[in-house]
Amino acid sequence: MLLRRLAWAFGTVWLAASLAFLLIHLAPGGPAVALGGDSGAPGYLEEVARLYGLDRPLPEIYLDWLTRLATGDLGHSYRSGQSVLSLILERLPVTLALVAPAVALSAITGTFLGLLRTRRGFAASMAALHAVPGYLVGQVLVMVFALGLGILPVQGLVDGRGEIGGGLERQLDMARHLVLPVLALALHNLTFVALLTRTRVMAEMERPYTLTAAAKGVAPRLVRRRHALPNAMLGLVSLLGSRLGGFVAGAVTIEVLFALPGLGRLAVTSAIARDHPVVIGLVLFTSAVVVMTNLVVDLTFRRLDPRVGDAV
Amino acid sequence: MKFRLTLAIILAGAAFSTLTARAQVAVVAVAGDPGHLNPAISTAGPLHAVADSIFNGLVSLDRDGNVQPDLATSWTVSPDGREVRFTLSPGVKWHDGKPFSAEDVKFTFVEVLFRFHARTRAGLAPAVEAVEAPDADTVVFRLKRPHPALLRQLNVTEAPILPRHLYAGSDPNRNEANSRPVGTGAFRFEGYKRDDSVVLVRNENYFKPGLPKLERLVFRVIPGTNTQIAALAKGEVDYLGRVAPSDVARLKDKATLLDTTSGPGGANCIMTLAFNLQRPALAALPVRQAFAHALNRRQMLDLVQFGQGRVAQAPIHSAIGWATLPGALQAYEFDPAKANALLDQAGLPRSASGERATLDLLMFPAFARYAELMRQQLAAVGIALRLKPLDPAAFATSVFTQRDFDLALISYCNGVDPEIGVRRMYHSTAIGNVPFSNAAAYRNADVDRLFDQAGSSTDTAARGEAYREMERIVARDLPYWWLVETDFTSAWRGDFADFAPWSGQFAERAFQKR
Amino acid sequence: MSRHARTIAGAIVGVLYLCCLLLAPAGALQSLPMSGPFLPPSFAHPLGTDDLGRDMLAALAQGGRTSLMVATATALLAVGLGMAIGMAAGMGAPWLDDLLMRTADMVLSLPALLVAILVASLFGGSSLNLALVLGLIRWPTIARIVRAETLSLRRSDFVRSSVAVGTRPVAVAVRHILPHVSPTALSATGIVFGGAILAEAALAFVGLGDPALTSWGQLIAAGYTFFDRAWWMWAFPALALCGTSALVAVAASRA
Repeated sequence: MLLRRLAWAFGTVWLAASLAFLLIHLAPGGPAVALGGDSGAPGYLEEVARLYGLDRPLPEIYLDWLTRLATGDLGHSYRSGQSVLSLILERLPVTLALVAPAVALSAITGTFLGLLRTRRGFAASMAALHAVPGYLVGQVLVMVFALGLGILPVQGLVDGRGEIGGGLERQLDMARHLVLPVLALALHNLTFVALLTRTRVMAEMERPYTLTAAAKGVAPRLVRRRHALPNAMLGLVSLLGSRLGGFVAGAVTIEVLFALPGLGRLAVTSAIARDHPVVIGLVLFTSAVVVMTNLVVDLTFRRLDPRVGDAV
Repeated sequence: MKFRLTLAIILAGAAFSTLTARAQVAVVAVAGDPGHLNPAISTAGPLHAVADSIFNGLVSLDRDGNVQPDLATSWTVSPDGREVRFTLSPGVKWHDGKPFSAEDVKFTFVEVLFRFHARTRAGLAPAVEAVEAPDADTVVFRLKRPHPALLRQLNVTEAPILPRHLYAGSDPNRNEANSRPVGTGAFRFEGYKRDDSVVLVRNENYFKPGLPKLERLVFRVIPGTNTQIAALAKGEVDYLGRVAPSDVARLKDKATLLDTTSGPGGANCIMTLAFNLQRPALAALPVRQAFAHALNRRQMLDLVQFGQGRVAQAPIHSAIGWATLPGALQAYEFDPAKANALLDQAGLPRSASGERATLDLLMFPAFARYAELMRQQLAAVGIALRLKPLDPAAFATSVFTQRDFDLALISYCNGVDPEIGVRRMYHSTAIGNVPFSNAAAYRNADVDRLFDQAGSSTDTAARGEAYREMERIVARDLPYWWLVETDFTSAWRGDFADFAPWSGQFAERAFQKR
Repeated sequence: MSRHARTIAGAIVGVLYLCCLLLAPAGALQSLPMSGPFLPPSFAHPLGTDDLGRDMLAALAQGGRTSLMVATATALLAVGLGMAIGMAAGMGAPWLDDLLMRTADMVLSLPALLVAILVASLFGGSSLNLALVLGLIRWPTIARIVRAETLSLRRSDFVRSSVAVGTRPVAVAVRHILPHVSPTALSATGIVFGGAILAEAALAFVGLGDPALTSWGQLIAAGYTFFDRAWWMWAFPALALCGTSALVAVAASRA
């Protein structure tokens, strides 16, 4: 079972990477153009193509790439020569610093909202709010808090002057810079969590065990919190896991809006610069993270909750 | 409420504490990641915005385009104009402590600039026979013909000098020093975080005494002009090299603004519409004349450029007074009716839905507003435009390598001498795989001859006459339509002074008022 | 959410769509009514004018046409693929079911926006490309629902009897299963449709949208630049985008 799941997980990652490989090698304007296009030196384009082994037939390049991938070598950036893995790991903390608090914030607040005694139209208003993209929320936040009230920074991860020392002061400065982007990303996603919590809890409320508890005279509020929620949580967390990709995608526009040097910006700039190995590495990395998270979440819950069968 | 107030006080306090501790630091916003920091192999804007502060040219140019000393303290031109001898500043050291010498200059020109720097390769290399270094402090340029524009092509943006000891015998495109540059310039490289920032620090051993004054120069990569403007208004950024015309009004009372016609790598620019003369529809002169009558250039200046510039009056920029021909384009007044008549006459009748032809217009994304306005204006005469914004690499490939376009919107910078930036637009030898050369693929033997004549003479009056004659011809042939002369605006916060936005070394003299 | 509200929301989206088609400039010329720049909303220009003096209402309609057409194309592609694959998985042999559903899982775990960014920057962000990419990525949601429904229908008497009579599987799928799965799939389609509107806008926001066409995302990005001078340039496209995708979400909600 585990082996089968692992095999499929690897298959998925391989598919994602192959797709990226194919797309990027079929695209007009290769790395030669990105590197030497500006100078237009005669013969230089061919020289670059030869240098990177791009003058060979595509299947050969693919096989070569796959073999190196098998040994964990994601290749090197055409633009900077840096290893792709180190580039990604260098940027990962920024995206994590944005995504992790946003996930936590939206999970906690969203669950809480979803548990509120639901009035009519709750689902509709949450669905409507979810329709507001994160960058629009971000633009409004910037207008109000950064430009209007002037209490929070407009862009960046730390103070640009680089005069803030290490330790706590630096952490605080970073936190100050992250308030608006995290809020923007979280506000967009917490509505989704709230909706999901509500649906799940409502489903649990109709099960025999909750009905029994209610019949015994347990207050409805407590039935929700003590009985329905823990059971609903299992499914919730695994769904949140599958939403991770959504958070990362949302982070792209937020990183662009707030000029944060995370993975999303890396994807956009590398794709435009035709920095093939970096883009392929990113697609590979992201889908690997998403697949692995899902796998771990699934397997954990299969342990915790026998009800989670193959069907889920 | 109370909580919010407390929070505000804490945050304000944090901001204040950083204010009081402020050293001489300037934060500069750049729109894109520089990629690497070797200015001799690329003409890319974000790269030069950062790297030009690390390096020097042989000379520099002041605000009016006059030549000033940089690495060279003086120079003499031989009577026949074919030998130029530079005396270098003594005792200059590279940032790594190695001495700078004439060999570095020779190496950089021959091995790097003449091969990889797009403008210098196209605009200077063909005129140079040899670069020699007879002794450590002397560089001699031997020219094939007199080349009056030479001195103006030797500033840091056009010809930055690289350290030979780090680059000799390597592929300059893949040298490690590209991401950890070593120069002679006012600022030393300290750190580079991709897509985030480049930090430079003061070069304590700079060969110009008393300079630079700033201790740190921080470049922040901020995509999106809106965020840049907001950051400047809030004090997170101190200097913007380019402010979009639409944003100038927003900064009027928040920053010091300076308008110039020249900036590093782009002096005296004219927004130009290039016709691909190899496309049958555009090979017909009446069609190009119709474009000239159909486009409302005044409206472009007002709505897109927000008045920052002038409607083009001649093929050569009005700031090059001795070569420009005012009134050369007078015959083409804005007159859609005339344009319609010309198009009818050219055999492009309107279809049932009103359009005569659909043409592809290629441009940089930054010029999208020009293109959209042009689409509106041309719709009135029945010409439909398909807009295709492309990033610089793709644009250069489509227009100059594959020649797959109908119309291209290009900001052609004339430079301070027509030999630098005008010749490449019209000379038949400049057709082909060189970015931002003769996009129209225009060929006219008379025009070629006039350029060759003007380019090899040292007599300014005679050169001016040749250029004006050339302008009369191209104004008649219309391989391009010259739209608007665009001025640049730079902005910096009021507590700074002496930025030089017309130069790559814009922060060499800048300081923060106490 | 009551059925009533869902119908109304759906109807409003439909009317909006029609308005966009009617109000947007027709033909290749793409010319919008013009007057002075930065005019606030008035009778002549109900939503004001932009920096080039173009009428914002017409621009909004033009943008809406792009956004809604991309979303429609995406939804059609996703529905077509999703239905076909879902029914094939539900009706087919176990190995086919396994293969198709595992493929669906794989596609679902692709970072959709990253792939879209990749394609847009490589091949140009034409709306056709975008609809293709999104459609090819979003079909699994629909396929999963359709498969589940097909599986339960397959056990029903009328399907069994039809199979027993010797009807070919494809014919069974089209005649008996298709009519029954449609309503649920429609709801999922609504979600894909709304998602496509937002994805198109997000790409336009990072500068990778279809440059040849005006879209809501592009109008929002441009409007943000002029926000302090002309709030209407930002507010109306933002409202149109959020409003439409909210209405679609409501119309598609099953709760």
